[in-house]
Amino acid sequence: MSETVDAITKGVVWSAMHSIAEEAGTALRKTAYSQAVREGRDFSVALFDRDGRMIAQGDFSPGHLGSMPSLVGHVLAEYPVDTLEPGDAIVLNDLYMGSGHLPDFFMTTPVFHADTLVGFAVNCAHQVDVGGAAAGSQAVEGITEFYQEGLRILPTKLWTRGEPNREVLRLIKGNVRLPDIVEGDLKAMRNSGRVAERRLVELFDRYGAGTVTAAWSEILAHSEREMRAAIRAVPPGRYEAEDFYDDYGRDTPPLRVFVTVIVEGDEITVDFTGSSGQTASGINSPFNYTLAYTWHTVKSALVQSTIPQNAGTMRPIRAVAPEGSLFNPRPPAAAGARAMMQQRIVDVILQALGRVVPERVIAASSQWANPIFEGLDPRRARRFVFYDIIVGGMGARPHRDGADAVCGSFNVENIPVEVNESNYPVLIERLELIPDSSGPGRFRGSSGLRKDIRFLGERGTVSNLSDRHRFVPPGIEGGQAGALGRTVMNPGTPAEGELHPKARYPLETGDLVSIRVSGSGGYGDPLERDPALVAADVVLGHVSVERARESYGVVVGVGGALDVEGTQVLRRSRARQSRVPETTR
Amino acid sequence: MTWRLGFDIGGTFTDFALHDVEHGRLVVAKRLTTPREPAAAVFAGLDELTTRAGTTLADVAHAVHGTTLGANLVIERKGARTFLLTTEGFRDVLEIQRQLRYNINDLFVDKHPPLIPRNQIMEVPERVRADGGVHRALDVTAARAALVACRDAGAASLAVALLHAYANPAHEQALAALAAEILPDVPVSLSSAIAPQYREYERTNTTVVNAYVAPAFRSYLTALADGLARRGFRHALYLMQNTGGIATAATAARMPVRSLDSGPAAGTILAAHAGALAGHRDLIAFDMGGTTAKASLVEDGRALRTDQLEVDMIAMRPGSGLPINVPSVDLVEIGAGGGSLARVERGILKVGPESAGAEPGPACYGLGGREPTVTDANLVLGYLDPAYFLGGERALDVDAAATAIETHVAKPLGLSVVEAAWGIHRLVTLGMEGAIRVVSIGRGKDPRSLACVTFGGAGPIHGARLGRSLGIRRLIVPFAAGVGSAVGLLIADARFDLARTLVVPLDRAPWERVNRLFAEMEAEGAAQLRETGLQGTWHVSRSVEVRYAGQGHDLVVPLGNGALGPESLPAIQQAHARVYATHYGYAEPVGAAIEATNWKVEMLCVTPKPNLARDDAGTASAARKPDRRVYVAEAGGFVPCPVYDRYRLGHDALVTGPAIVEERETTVVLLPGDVARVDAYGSLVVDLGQGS
Repeated sequence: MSETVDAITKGVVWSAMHSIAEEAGTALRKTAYSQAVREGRDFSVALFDRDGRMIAQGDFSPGHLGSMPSLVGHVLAEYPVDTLEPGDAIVLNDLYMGSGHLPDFFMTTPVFHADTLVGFAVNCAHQVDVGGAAAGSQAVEGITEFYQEGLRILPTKLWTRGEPNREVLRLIKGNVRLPDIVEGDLKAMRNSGRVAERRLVELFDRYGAGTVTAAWSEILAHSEREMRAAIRAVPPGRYEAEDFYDDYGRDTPPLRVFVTVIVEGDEITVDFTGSSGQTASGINSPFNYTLAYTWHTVKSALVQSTIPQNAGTMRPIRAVAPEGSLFNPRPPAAAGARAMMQQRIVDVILQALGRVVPERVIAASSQWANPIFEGLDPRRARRFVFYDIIVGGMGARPHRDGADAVCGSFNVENIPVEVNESNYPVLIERLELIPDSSGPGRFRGSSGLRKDIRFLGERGTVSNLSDRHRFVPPGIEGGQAGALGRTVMNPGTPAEGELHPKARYPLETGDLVSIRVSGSGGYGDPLERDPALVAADVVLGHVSVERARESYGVVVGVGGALDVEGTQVLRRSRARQSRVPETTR
Repeated sequence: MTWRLGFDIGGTFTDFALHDVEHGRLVVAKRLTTPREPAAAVFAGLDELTTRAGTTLADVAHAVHGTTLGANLVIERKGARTFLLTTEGFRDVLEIQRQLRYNINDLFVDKHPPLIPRNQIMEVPERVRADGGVHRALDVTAARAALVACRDAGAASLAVALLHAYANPAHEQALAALAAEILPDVPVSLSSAIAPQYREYERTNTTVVNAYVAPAFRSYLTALADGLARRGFRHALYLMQNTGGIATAATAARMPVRSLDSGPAAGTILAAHAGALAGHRDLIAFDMGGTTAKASLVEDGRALRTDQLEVDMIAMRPGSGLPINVPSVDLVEIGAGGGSLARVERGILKVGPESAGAEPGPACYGLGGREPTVTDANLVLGYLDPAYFLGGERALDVDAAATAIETHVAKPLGLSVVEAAWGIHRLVTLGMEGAIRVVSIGRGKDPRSLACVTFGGAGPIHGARLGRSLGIRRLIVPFAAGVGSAVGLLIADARFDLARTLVVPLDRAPWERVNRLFAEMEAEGAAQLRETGLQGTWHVSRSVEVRYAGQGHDLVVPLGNGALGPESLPAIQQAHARVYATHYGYAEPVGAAIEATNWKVEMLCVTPKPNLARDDAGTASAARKPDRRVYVAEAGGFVPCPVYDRYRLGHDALVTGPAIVEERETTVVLLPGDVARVDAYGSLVVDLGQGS
């Protein structure tokens, strides 16, 4: 390295990079129209050097991690560095170059300092609709290739020297269901890129190009060293785990998720060999997406947020998946609904890591739901797309219960009921934690969550999207599984019916869709749970008296009073049962 | 003689400032807070203060009180046994919260349990729609049964938060009427009165916090008023609110959530004032007391405000605390104070956020504290004079401090006591640097372009080093900085901020309803201002939060004060486009559909400011006290250091670092290269040396 940078300057440059990414991200979130972006935080901002190495990424959606490192390379392949000019912005949404489904648009802004290209600001935002067979462009059933999923854009200059390319913009608007909203979001992305560009130029002005780029290189090297050190602390070996997705549409078989985590020295490989093959549906995880959640999960377990998110951190972590498999499908496989797959990637990798570093992992978390309601809004006399995000909580921890109502795989803010109802013709009739849905354990999993949505629009549909309606979220270290999820149409009426989690249904005005996402797994033997904690859960209504007795061996009387003696007796008899030798069971 | 009084209760110390309005004399005092009975320290301190000033409370015409009592009740979970009535189906709003995973890379992310356990939340059959229409009438029989259940379960306070009550408060009001019948002695907080804006979690939580702290707040204010009256006080008692404006004690008792964390806001008011007097209108206010440190931003002489206060944050992560929708000074508060405990965890030194508080206090207080604190470290490093703490009122035990540091930090880490003390000092300074970054860089301001006003008992010890590490060039230490928040209380204006949600497309706005909304809010605000009885100039500023139709985030657009109508639209559109472009660098063409969400009024009564000018004379050399050995890492270790008596430093006196400037309530540490001059108001205006 030609120039070494003092520790303080390096710290300042690092924190400046991080704050630039955060500031550009905040600008995007605050100006966006898409609910996925502004409430679901389904967007990202990353900063790159002129060679396309990722220097910093803001703490936004992990789902875009995998695509980011190679993104600038795809752009440069189409637009070499010497063809780029200040004020340019290039978009793409190709699912294999990008993050695995078409709604994610990426915009790349080249950054110039003193007439020289010094780096790139890239942002990604989930558009509410990009056309295709179903509103929201995330359908599962009836989809066999991505041509059915909407408009696909290979790297294309959407702004040239600060001027929008109106022809291309018109082309995009002609192919999506909510053209004004998509246009608004593209402008928000453009603006976020400009915020990042402006702040990066200020950084170069203040410290000089030599110092900043030298600091970047040192930050990458330092991050990589730290990540390798953290991996070296994990005992080497091969650690396997298996789980399943319910299916990929009505009358389809379950899909196997099988990983082998291979720890060798200071490198980790997560190998998906043994998982199911790719499907003829919107359920496939293009490799960039697989990679994204592999990186995110390994990093969360081993180093939390102590090491910045950049190209250096990721270098020692590899993902492997055979071509043509569920986790590395071949184009033109479709993948609109791949977001539903992320939680299982996290769950399974943590299960595997749990075999060697159980103190670093949590049990399987709740499976979220992402229903999309569309129809005519009679008050405003226009069509609407209501994209909702319903998430349960996290799996139980080694030393505490799983956090209720916090997403186990990505970041989200729920959309307040009062905002739902102000914006769309819906009435939310219930939003609550589901009793007895948490996985029992020494520390219990989080509860599932129920949201009842009454449709007050006209001529509508609901595209249901969830999982864990057939395969429970498992516990860990002797912990038990959480309850399954369900979707029920018009519960308690003669018209009551069960909805499949990956199908689309017509809606009549007044229909009620009750979405109940799964619970999450417990950690450790439930018979070792502090009886006082069980009694407290009974008092609060999270656990029933029956469940306390059956799953925890805890006797709780009326009003939640703990029967200490009864509990001792019951637990002793349970312990005797569990000592029966394996062969006779 | 006529006096103004300010007194502020913090986690460790209670501070007092008494100002003689006619002659400009300022008398201040500081004593340990009495956490179990906060009024005790107040009365003891007032007796001492008035004796020293040669007056009585009968001559005090204006008393303002700041307190973190409310925030402490929440943080320590020591509020009243509170019950919540809410809409059927929505019992878990407090538990579900907004679901934000505030640290995306943390698998073990923690979430605060709600203030009220689930079995103290009662659902009531009723439903109001977003437009205010009634979808399902209130089931009065069920409501009565719920209230009876609350009564029988021993409810000491009641919160009512129904869906869309901001749009139609009728059901909440009906419940309040029933509650008055069934639980006549229990205070009731309605979401439609406390925080009438949409987003149910934030509104419910705000209402619940209000209810949770109301009984303790009310009995405390009653006891305080009685004690003051017994000492001859005959005028109105005011409370500082989170906004930095004052309100009557009666208003504060009704809406304690508005005064939840009010002492720190007063500090920002002082910083803005002292900064402006020294020629700085853009600055960072940095306050470090016994329990916490707070940083805030002053822009063009005004404290930056926010619509939401976040209490009890986890690890400083935004989104981790309890959101409270009341207007507030935009403060970042961290658990870093003189009393912050130092310890070694898994071979790593940690400082705070736990504090030794007033009881048992730092080891050097000799009150039973055995664990080392930041104050113990500062004593060992020579920054504090063991014989001149609080002007000598409390002798500090250097040996006890050294022993605590040796046992708990030096030995486990294999360091000398001095090295360990220096580590504690550096680490706590680093944490505060982070807080200042959040309020400066995090708000788009480069700290190097700002001055820093530092105060609080411990602030001036750390200010110079902190300023250096952030590249700040100008540090201001106001006179009586050790009781800065109490001095700020003397300066504050009366203000009341109101807001209501009415989501409407602006091209089809029901203007009559909007005008009625403003009339109602302004009548309420005017009543609050009139109730203060203060003479001053009134300012009414209206604004509205606007967004492009379909967006999720709003921007505040100022409005004129006249009646609004369709003809107001172009001006609002233009103003929104302007504000939008300022924030985001571009705007849609004027005429693009915009919608309004929250309508707001800020009502201010600007009162004449006390004159804090000082006419002391005296050069630095005349103010010298005996030198002492002080640890100056910048000079390589312990060096003999000049010590100055702040009270003998007159206008224009010059002090160059390294130096210690002692005041009864605080100590200023100046480093090599620092040059301080005393301005006409007694502030030390320091040009910081560079390098770290």
